[in-house]
Amino acid sequence: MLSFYSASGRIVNTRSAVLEVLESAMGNEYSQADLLIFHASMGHDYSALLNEAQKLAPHARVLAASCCGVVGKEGVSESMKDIAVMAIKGKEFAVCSTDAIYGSNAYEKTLAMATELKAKDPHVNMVYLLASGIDIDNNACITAIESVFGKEITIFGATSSDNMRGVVSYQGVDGQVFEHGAYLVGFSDPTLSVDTQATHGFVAIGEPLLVTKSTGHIIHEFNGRPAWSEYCRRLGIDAADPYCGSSIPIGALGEKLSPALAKEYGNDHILRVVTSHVGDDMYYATNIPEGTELWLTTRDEELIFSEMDKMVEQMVSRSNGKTPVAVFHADCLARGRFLFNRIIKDELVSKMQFPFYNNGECPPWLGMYGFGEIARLGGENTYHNYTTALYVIYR
Amino acid sequence: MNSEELGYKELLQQYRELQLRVTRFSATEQALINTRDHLDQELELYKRMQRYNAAMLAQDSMEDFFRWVCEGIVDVFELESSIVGHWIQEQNSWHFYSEGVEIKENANWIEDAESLKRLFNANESQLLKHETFAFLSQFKDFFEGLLFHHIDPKTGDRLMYIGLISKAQSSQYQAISDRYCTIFNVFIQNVQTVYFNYQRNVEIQDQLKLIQRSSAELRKLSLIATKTKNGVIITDSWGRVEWVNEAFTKISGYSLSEIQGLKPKDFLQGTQTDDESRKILSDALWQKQDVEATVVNYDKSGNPYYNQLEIISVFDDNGNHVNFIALQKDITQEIKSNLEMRKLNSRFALITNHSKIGLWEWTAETNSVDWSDELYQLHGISPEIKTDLREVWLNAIDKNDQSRILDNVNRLQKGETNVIKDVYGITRGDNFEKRMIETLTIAEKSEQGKVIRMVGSSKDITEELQVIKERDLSLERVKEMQSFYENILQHSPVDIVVLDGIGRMIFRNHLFSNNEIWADLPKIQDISQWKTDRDIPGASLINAIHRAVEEKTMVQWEMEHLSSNQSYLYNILPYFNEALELDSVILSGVEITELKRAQDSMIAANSELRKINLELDNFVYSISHDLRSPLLSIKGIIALVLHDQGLPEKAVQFLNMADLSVTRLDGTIQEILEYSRNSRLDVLPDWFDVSSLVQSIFDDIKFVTEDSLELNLHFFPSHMLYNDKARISVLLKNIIGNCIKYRKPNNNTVIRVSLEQNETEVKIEIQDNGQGISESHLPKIFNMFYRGTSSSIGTGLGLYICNEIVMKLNGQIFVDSKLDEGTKMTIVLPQIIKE
Repeated sequence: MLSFYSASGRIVNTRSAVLEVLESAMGNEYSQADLLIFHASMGHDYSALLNEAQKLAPHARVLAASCCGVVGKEGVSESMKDIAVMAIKGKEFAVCSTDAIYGSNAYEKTLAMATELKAKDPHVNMVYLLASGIDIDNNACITAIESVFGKEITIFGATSSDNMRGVVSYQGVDGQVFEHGAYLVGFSDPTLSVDTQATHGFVAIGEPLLVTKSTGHIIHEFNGRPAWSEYCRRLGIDAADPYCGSSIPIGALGEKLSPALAKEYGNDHILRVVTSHVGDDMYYATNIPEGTELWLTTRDEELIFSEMDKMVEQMVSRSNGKTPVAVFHADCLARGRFLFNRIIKDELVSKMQFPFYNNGECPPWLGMYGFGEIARLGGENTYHNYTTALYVIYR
Repeated sequence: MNSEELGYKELLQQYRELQLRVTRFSATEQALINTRDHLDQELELYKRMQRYNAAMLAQDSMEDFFRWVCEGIVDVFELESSIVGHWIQEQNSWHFYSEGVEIKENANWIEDAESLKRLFNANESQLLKHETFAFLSQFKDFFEGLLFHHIDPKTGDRLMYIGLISKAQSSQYQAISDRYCTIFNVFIQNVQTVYFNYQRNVEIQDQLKLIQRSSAELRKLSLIATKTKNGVIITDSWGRVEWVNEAFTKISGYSLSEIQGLKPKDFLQGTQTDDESRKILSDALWQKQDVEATVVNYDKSGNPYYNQLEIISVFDDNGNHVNFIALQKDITQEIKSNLEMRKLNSRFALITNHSKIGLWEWTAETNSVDWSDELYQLHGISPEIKTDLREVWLNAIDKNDQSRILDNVNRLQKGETNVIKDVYGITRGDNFEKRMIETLTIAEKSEQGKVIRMVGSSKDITEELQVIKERDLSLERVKEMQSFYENILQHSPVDIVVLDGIGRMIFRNHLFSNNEIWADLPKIQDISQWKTDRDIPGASLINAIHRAVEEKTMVQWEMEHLSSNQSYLYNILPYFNEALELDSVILSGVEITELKRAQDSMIAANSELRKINLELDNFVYSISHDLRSPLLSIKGIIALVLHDQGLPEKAVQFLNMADLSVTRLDGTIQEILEYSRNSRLDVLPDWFDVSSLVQSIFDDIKFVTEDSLELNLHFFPSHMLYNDKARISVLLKNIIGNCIKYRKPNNNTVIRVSLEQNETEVKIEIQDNGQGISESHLPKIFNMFYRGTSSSIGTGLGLYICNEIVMKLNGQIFVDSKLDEGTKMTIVLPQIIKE
């Protein structure tokens, strides 16, 4: 039976940071951890992080991902030296990983991982996916996992990010650090279940951009014009920037949802992020067929708060009075300090955590500010961007 | 294009512009957000600075302090890495601390630090651009950074604070703007303030620690001076006593109050204090120098003691002499011990010289070897030899022993063992004689376990080995003999059992191996305790063994084996060692079943024979008695007839012949009666006068002849003897009768009778000067009916009866005779003790 422990903090020295969060999470029993999932912002040395964690918990599988900031039960932190951990004791899990995963091979690579995962533990009943947030086709990843475990399995997770520059993101698995890697954690504790939901609170504005030329997840043209130039022109930013640091906070693209999904989602659009471009080719977060209409969107602060309240309320109502044993949390990095001032951001996180408190105490909580989130929508595992996604685990 | 179309186009254009403005509003809004974020961040930086100020001040060491500074630079300014360089003028060296970058204090870093110092003004923040880094060998991978360096005008110490972002990670970090310089200034000034406060704090802490240490040291010294077993005297600069400790009072008997203000030499020195020591002390004190000496001092009672003295001159900070401190140790006992040790060493040397043991010693410190004179002699080389002794020793060792001996020495040197005993051969240097050496080597180790000394002894055991060899050969022979005799014993027809001193069976041949009696022997620790009244198997054997051990004699023990109906006779012989302790008991037994049967038959036959003899005796007695009466009647009648005067001469002649025959026959019958009486009657001892008995016998029979007869008694008259008077009487009568009977004709016959006796026996000698007995007859004279010649007048029973009587009395009879010279009969009888 799995048990969960978490801690987060801002500590400059990576090795000291690992020790400190492990001690905060598990006291002096950290060496007994079986699985450690770290989120750390870009100022940390990931190789040192993995090695130190392995030294302190010799029997544990150690996983890590880069991010723009972390959320723990201690609160939010967005600096270059943030770190958070979810420490897990128990044997009912399996881990698989891969390197060199891109949008073009996302299905094959994920399929191989999922197949291996099922072979390792056929009783997996929920899958945590963490992949590179740059140049990846997340829908392909979801489809691959579902092809192995079936559509009914809940997939949750995030895509790792950098400091919202869109340059690089890191994934760490047992001492190895990847720049285009991914890992799956299959949980098989039969006593556990997971509830997921995501919300964003953005509204579409203006006329849509029509994808007139695309290959897989790469958009070549909007409205018959080079995609990146047209996109930047619409956003009023300089297209010469080789990275997407300037476009990410303001350039959320919305795909129209069906009325039924829109109703459940509380929004007519599901958002997508572009984390990189090569010339005018834009790397979309999922596959994007030609003819798709994409709306530029803008933030609606009131809607963000009201939708957040609504989502948490719905999740709590679905819990039937159960209290969570752990919460995984993926938040879009654009929803952090780059969207709100720090006080409002803390308030927002507090609003999402408080309803899950048990006897005044926050459950083990591991959240990150990353590029993307995965949560069910319309009963299906769905990739999201610019959302707050909660994965609440119950026993 | 009509106006409607124009209007639509314009409207569309306006819509598109509006759409652009709306979307671009997001960009403007984001720019505002970014600005706000920067302001927020600056606020956050100040907050963080405060946190680090507090943290830095709380550090215990300079190293921790600068580590926090490094972390502060990285965290507060969200930089990738930081370096703090600390130039300590006093040490003339740089010390570097860093976060996020590895620093080695090599020449390149120092060179770069010096370059930065030259390039940029002190005491103000500087923005470092990658163009600057191009000139610095260790900074080539960095993109931008912040610098602040400071020189302490007092100490000359320099502090250099650097924050850095690498080229590789620059895209992840906010670009460092000029605005950061101001905040960096503030931060570093805070750090400097904290640093100086910290330094002052450290100085104060150091001073406090020093004071505490000094105070503690002083307390310890005071305690040592007070409690040490060595005497301590503190004098003023003139050498006058100011203070002494308890130990001094104990050693010398002087209390402080008695000697305060006095000079120690005035009350401690005496006649045995040698002048040289006095001068050394006096000179040193005069020159205010430290000095060490051993002097003879005197305690208060006037008893001398050896004092190991150390005097320390104490000067104040200005170099003025203020005190002498004298430490004195009573080493009288040590000196006595040294003398004793020397004596012991001398004895030891004497012993080793006499026992021909050579000694050697190797010292690790000097790597030198010393040999005793005896070892030189043992090797047949001169002590004057200049060659390396190890080479001499190695060359002397037999080739067959060399590698083993060297291995052993190596093991000792490595500390694998502490002691090694060995025997090896050497060739002496003088006469090339082969000798065998027994050696014992002992290694001495330091506390760290390193061998610091080895000492060894070598003894020539060539002769001992020869003796041992011979002894071994002898033992081998003994073993062979033992085996040989055991083999014999095993095959002996006699059953042999050997028990040890405590009753354990240590040998048994296999003859009667099934004899279960041996299994019942008691299992106790002392065979002498064996004795039993109980009716148990083997009880008679146990008691027999006990008796043999108790009486220290051989005891016979018979055993009848019930199941086989066989009988055994065992001789039980205890064997005692030289200390008269029981060593073993040997039991040798033979089967006597047949013998026993023969014995039983013989006993039965003897019994029958005794019965027959008794009957015969009775018969002889009866016949003799019955025969004698008519003979005496005949003799009486013959005497009556001869009394008649008218008998013809011829008749008288015949009657006299008949009377003689009857007399002879009567004598024979009397002797047969005496023999019979001797056989039948028990010995009846009684007191009687021997001289009277001899005299009466002589008187009775001297009338048989008219020849001259003389009796000489050579013992005291009325000599009383306790014995069987009747048998002694018959014995003497027969012997004295023979003296008269076989006298020399026409000669004065002298019969000499002597008697001697002691506590155990009586010796009677009867000697005559008669005819004597020829040598050929001597062996047979005690035979029944033996007569030397047919003309002999005896019956042939007299000496036979004498011999029988002597035997009856458990005595012996000897005859010593020479023909024509006489005969001496000697009778030796045991004394009969009157109960």
